[in-house]
Amino acid sequence: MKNHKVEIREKDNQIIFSLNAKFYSLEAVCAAAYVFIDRAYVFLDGDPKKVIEVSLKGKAKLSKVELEGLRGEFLNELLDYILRIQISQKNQKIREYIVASILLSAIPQNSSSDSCDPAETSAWKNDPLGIAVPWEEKFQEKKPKERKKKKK
Amino acid sequence: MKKKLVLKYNKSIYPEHAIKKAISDYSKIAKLGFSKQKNHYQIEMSEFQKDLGDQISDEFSNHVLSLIES
Repeated sequence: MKNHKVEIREKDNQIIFSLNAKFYSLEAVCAAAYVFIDRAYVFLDGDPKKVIEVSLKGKAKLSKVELEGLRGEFLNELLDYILRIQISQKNQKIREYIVASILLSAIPQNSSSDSCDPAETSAWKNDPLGIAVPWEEKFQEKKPKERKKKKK
Repeated sequence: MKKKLVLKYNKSIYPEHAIKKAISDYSKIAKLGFSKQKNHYQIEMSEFQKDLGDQISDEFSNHVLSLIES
């Protein structure tokens, strides 16, 4: 398999190489490039339908061998993303089906499940703990008394 | 003389929204001009700290790339 050209600019700490767009999609190249942005300055050029040019410029000073190594790692990462994209495309329908079935199962099937137990409702209406009384009603009357006490 | 950098981004690779967002993000660090050419977007970068040198353009390119992904 031919990768068209590889150019190493040791002075600029940079390696430039091109990729055949028939094998390497732009989506995969961008994804692989994103992985490298913490280690290198990445610049893309070319024609995404024919040849994509990649420039990797090391953030730290790199030797010629290290720059070659960086390119190798990039190509491995690229291969990884191509595989991921292929698997994602193959499994798209089954993923959609799984998500749809999960969403459907979350919808309540029987409306009777929403209704409450009548015993519980009556207990709530009795309000033995006094929870249902609004805060204002509960404490509004006490305030004048408290003031009176303070005046004394 | 103030330093000025010209950056070119291939239209078929870099989406316009990513470049414009990056320009907006870098607006406090440098003065940036944007123009559309036939095959590329052109960014003119000026009024940035001298000690940043060419590093600012490289960092800008990485930032644009990160915005493509997001």
